[in-house]
Amino acid sequence: MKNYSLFFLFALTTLFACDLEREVDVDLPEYQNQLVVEAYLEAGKPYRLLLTESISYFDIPQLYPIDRNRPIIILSSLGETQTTIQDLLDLGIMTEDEIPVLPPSIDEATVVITHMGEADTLESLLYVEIDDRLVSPEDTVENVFFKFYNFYSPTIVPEDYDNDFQLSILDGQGRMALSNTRFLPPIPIDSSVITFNETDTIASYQIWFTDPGDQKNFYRHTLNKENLFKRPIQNFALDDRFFNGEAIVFSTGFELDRGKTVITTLYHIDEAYHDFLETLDEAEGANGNPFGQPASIISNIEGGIGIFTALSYHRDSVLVE
Amino acid sequence: MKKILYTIFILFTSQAIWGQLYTISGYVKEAESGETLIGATVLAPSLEKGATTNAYGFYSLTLPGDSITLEYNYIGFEAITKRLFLDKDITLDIELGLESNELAEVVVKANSAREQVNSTQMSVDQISTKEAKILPALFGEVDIIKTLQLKPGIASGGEGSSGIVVRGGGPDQNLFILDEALVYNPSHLFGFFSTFNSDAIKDVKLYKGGFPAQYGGRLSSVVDVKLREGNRKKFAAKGGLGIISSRLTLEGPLKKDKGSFIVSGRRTYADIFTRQVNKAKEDDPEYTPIPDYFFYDLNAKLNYDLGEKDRLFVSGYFGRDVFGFSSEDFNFDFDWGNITTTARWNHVFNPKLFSNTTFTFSDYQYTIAFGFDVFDFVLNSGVRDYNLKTDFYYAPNNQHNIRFGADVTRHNFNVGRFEGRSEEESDPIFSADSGFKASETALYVSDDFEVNDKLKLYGGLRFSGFYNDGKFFMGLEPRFSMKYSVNDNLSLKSSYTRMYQYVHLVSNSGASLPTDVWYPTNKTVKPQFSDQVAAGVTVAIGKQFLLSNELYYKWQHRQVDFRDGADLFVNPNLDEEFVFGKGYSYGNEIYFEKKEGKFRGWVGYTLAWTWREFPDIDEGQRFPPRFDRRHDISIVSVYDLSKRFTFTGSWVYNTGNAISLAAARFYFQDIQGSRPDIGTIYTERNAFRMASYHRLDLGMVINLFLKKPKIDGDITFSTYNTYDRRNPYFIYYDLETDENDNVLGVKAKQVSLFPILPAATFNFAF
Repeated sequence: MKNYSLFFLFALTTLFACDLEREVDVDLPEYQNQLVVEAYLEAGKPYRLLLTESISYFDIPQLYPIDRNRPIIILSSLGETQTTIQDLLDLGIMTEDEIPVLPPSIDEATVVITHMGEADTLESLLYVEIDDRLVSPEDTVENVFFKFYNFYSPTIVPEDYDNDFQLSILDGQGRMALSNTRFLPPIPIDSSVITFNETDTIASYQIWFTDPGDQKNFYRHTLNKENLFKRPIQNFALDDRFFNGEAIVFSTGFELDRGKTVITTLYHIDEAYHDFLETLDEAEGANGNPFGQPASIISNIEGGIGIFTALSYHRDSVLVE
Repeated sequence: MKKILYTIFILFTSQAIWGQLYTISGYVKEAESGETLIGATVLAPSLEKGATTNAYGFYSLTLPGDSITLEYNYIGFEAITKRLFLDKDITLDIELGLESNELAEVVVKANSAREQVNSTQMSVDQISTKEAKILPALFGEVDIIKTLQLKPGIASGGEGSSGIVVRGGGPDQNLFILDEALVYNPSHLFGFFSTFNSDAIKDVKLYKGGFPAQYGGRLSSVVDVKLREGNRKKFAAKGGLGIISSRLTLEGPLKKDKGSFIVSGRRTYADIFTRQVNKAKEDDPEYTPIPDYFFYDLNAKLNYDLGEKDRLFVSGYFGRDVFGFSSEDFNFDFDWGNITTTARWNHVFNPKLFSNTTFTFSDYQYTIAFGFDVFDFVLNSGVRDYNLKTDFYYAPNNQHNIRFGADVTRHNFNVGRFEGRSEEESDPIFSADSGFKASETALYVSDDFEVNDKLKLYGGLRFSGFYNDGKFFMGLEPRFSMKYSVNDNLSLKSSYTRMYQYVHLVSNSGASLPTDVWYPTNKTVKPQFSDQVAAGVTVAIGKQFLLSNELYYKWQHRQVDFRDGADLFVNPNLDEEFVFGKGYSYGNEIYFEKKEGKFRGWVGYTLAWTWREFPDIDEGQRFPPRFDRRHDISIVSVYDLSKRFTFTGSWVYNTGNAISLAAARFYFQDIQGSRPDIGTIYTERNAFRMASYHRLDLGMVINLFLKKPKIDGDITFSTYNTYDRRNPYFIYYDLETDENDNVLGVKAKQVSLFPILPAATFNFAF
């Protein structure tokens, strides 16, 4: 809850009405790029990891179309398939305009995830999950977000709540990043309710779950319409301070159309992931906020930045009717 | 050693040498209104003895029995000389009339240069409302706290802000007292205006060091605001119409020369216009309503003489800021404000012993209510204090002014109460709250001791304690100061003070906001304390000029900040979010003032450094807080062209604020089911400086004197930021993109708050 954001909005309204802005020169100190890691373990899915690096704020961020001859592992309802962009173009599955773009990734690195003493070295291979249902004309690259990873191992992540997973990365420049994480048991969604408004045209959706009271718990909740590849209509992380040990409801407003599907996902996350998400948000929100105190991002990647975490979740898909 | 023995000998034998001593005591008042005068002098020139009236206008002077002449003085008033034969203790109340020169109304009223040279007290600034009222102000809205910002060592919290930063102390380290009651949030409109209505104020003193022992509870300054008592002679009214607010003050006798009342209020009225605009456009579906905003405050005070020895005062303040926004599917209401109540009893036990006993109630609350669809959420927070204190002034002879007293406060902290409701549920769908009750106590004693004509010493000791969470915390706070007069016009001064602060402001924003909450000391959060030393020289040059220079060094221990990512929102485990460190600041303040005459004013320059050091921030490296300013200059001038016209001007310059700017960024893809984002990386805290701040304000006062009906008044014209400088308020990064939203580059943009702002205010009094 950014309880100062309203002041910020209020101030900004006044400021911009007066046109009191001007461009200024800012000399930032020289910046040493850092490794950026995103690795999400999901039980039953292969190990995958995205390795990029941070850049100075004034460097222009570039996104490049994927090399059309680079091997890609695609996970779909048909299972895993290895292909290339060129193959997809040739088959007419993809057009030139639909070639995904990616930030510059760090592909020369040794990435190892160790579990129960068994080290698994991830290959430098592009990996992406897609959904065969994405056939609607409005599902363009602007509003559909595929998640690409540049390191992959076919080893399936075990559902192990008792032992840590360790990550170690050594890239071509000698930069090293280390981390570890562990699965938390998922928290079940107890029930969900769809309620239509008075005119019976749009609905709100509510889910109920019960927080275990024996420990501090952290959650992330996402709610997507139709599929998981579009911008979520709800996406937030929070702790259980308001409802420790109690049942709690998450709800939308009256905004869901009859006949559409909604997908709700309740992640039971650890404190490191919660803090990472919160500080990521705060650091971004401090830009241009005269009342904001910039926060350093809290990351569980030693020697870099980013997150290595295990995703435990309960997911429901519901038709609004 | 011989000198010391000689001094002691003189001390204890002085009465025997002079023979029988008698005490003259009483109140010094303003003849026109019967208001007591604070800091008026009473002098027996032939004996070179004197006294000044205390904060309640009371004086006590002990002299040998004889025929004597007494002079009563107060700047801007005609001096009165009394001849009398002293053969017993005498009670003598004196009323001083304004100087016949009608310009006296606008003469700067503060201690004369000579008095300031002679006083043991250092590091203090005093402003009268008359002084503040003629200076140019933002939107023409006179603000006595902003006038104080023009004095050296007192920096503004930011552009247009009524917040103050004193000698490197944080904005939460200032003790604001209104008629003895603590004011937790002394600002309106997110800090742009202070809660102190200048029409109701009699006197403001700001201590930035050398704190007298009766004050405690904050590390860096004490701002002591005294309300006027009201006219004891006749009914009077005054007020003003400004571009953003209007004021009205009514005052008069309850019973002539026995008691009086004063009621003073003000309210802003922008909301009256914005509501009309909203109403006119309510049928336009594209129109977004302008939020409602207004603030108001009301001061009231009664006083009554119960007898020659007893006076009773009751005063109160009530102020609120109200902000509201309403649209078809979203409502937001936010209001906040202070209430203070003071009941005070002055009693004269005997001519040498005076007491002031006070009960105060102080309350600060804010409430945020927002609703959308079927949901309503309410958040409120605040602090409520009940305080009882008693102060004794004892002047056994003219060499000692002893003060002692006790103080006890019961605090009720509502750190946060949050509740969510749905139309479909009778019970809250969730709620949380966090609150504490704590007690704060203090005992103090001090003596202002005139050792001889050249040397004055002040020694004080304050014992403070705080009880919370089953644990008692305490602190001993020694206060020393010394003045050595090289001659009548030149004195050297030094001081050492220790201050304890037991309540801490919980804020992780760069500025002080109404939503910041106060948090008590407990087992985890230990009390803050500071040590400050200061040394200075004060020179009176002729009768009109004063030059002073002060060096200071302040150590701030157990400073409080918050870990990165701290969640302060109704957090029952707030203790886990704090990080602890230290701070230190040092600097030099030069002040030159011409106190009287047609052309008067002052120049102040502060050269200062302020640092903070926290093991958990920037890996323990020291960093400057946002308000660290190397140079701070202010020039203030007033010129009385004639009885009718007065011209005023002020120019301020300070080093730009220290801020943090993002150093780097990264692509953050996020999990399936969410959109990618750009992560922002900040490195060193406050490593970047914004451009320097400077501004010229000009004003012109046209005095009006109507004879039938007899109304005095003035029209004040002013321009804020006369040369229209674009002073930096904040800097942000903006992405440059082409028509296809491709990023071409990043630009840093500076946002300023106020361009040149002309204003006019009409003030009247009858």
